Amino acid sequence: MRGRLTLFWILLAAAVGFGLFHVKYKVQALEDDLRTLNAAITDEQEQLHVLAAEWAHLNRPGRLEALAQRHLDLQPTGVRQIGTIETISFPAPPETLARQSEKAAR
Amino acid sequence: MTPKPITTAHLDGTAKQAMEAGRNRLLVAGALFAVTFTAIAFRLADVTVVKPAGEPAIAAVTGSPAFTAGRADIVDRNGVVLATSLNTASLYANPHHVLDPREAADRLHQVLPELRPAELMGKLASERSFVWIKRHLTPRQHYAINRLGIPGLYFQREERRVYPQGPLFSHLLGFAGTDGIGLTGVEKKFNGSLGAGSKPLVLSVDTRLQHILHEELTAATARFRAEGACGLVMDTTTGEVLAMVSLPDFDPNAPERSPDESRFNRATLGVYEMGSTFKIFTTAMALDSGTVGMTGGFDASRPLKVARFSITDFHGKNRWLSVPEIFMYSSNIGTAKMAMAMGTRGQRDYLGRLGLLRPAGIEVPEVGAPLVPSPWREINTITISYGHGLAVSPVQVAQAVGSVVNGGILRQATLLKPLKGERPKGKQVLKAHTSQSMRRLLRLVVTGGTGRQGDAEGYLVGGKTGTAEKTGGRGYREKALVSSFVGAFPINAPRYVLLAVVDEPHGNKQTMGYATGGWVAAPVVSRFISRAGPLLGIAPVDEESDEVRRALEIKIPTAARGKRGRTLASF
Repeated sequence: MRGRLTLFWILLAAAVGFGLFHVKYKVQALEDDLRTLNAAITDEQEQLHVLAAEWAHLNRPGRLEALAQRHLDLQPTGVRQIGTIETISFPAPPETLARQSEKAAR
Repeated sequence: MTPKPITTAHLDGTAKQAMEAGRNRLLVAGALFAVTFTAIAFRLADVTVVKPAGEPAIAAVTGSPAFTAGRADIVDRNGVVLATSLNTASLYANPHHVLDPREAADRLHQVLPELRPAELMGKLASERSFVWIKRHLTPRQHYAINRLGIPGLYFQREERRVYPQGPLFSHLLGFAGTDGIGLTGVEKKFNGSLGAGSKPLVLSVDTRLQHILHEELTAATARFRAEGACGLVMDTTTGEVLAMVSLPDFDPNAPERSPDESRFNRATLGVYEMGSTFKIFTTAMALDSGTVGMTGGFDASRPLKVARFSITDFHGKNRWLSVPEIFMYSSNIGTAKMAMAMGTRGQRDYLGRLGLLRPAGIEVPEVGAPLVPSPWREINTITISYGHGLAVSPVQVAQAVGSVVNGGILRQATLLKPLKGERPKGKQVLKAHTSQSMRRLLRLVVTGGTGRQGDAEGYLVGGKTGTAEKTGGRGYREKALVSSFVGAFPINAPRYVLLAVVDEPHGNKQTMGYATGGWVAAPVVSRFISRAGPLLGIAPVDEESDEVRRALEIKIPTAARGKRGRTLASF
């Protein structure tokens, strides 16, 4: 009886020890992963930062204007090109059109 | 015999007492131990089972990544990057580790063609153990050099301040030195917070408007072969500066490449005698103090002689002029008489209230103090009334004009975007009614007076021209002018004030030799407003509509006081 109990305790201690080291190594591995990921994230953030600066540089209004003049037929909006919504004559809403065509079909 | 048992009993008594005491002590000690152990047991159970302390159930994320590039960014009101810090790689070599300097130099030259092979050779073959090859590589160059795989070449990470917009915001932003310390402009003013924080500094400026203003001023400077120019756009409801340009400018990415004169911020540091633009303030203060009404006027038939000075009109009408006419034709005589009626004290009080006698509070270190006459004599009162004898910075003028048109509330010009829902509190310096009258007068200048070229169809511009002779050596130089135009729009409910100042313009054929504010600066304002109106979300209005007419109509008494005048619809 006594021997069995001792054996039980020894086994239990061994199992707990094994479990402890297993968890410890796993945590270490995970921490390594985390560090790598964090480094990757910082790298990405830095690249985003550089790209944001490049984006701002390439979107200088002066550059865009020159490009638009060279490649597009667009001009600054004139006063006469700005109107109110009331001045536009809209076509009839689509459902009435559908109803009309239904009537015509009948 | 009898005493013995007594003695025994006595002895028995002592022994018993000792026993009793011993037992009691044991009991007390036992009880103490029992209590202590029970307490320890409970505590043990408590910390291990009930609420495990020390180790949280879920580990906190340690060292969460936060990228910081040193100095904080500066962005415009819409979040466009104006200044940022980049980590760059700089290339250096240890010549002792370089195996074949000739081959290394040849291959490096292919990636960095701007470096001459002979020079590179010399560096790579030198006896030193550290030589800079090139500072601040682009990421592409960095990659290419890494690919070459030349031994003995190393990279050093360095921080560099970059201004993606180039020269567009030069004076406003200023620049930071190689050690990351702001040397001028906003970079210097906010050096502490930029160096400490990672949160971007949000300015009130708008990159698009800045570009338009920059372009129009550059064009005007070239057209009139001017020495320089400056301009600014301010929101009169908040005091925010939306654009601020000073020419000539420089590239803050490489400030050492521009001459020193280009660093001078004309918009904040330069002080100018503004000329007739000042008549806005003289007229406003005369109306506000009740010195004269809108139907009043002064005799401008003869030049005004004060001491040894004779004051004449540029666009002389040689008759009695009403207040609207004095303003519209920019009459020096009429304005001077208006100021004389005001008196020196009244004038100085009002100018002080309008913030024209103390330096502007704008957030750059380069702020010019106004040149105030001392002593302030009657002749000063007269010359100041039409803008000579008191030199102020363009920011001060924009601020003061803002208060004249926005209902009389002076708001300090600021470069910072206010937090959401926050509105800077202003100071009521003029009556709201005065502001109403001034709007009509400013519109009149553009529809029928000297500022006709400042109009932008549909946007209801109101404004005033100014042409001042620059002081040089002794007295004024007739050929050196400072031409300006200050405009507000839409003038029926002014939101934006726009000031353009051109320094020493020269007239040309198209302007028939004129280089006055109406010919030089007013077109800048007109073009800016037509281009920027849609960006600012201002719907163009029908200038002939009844509503507009009612808001801006003005009665001009023509002949003499009291006589019925003609009504001039001013739109």
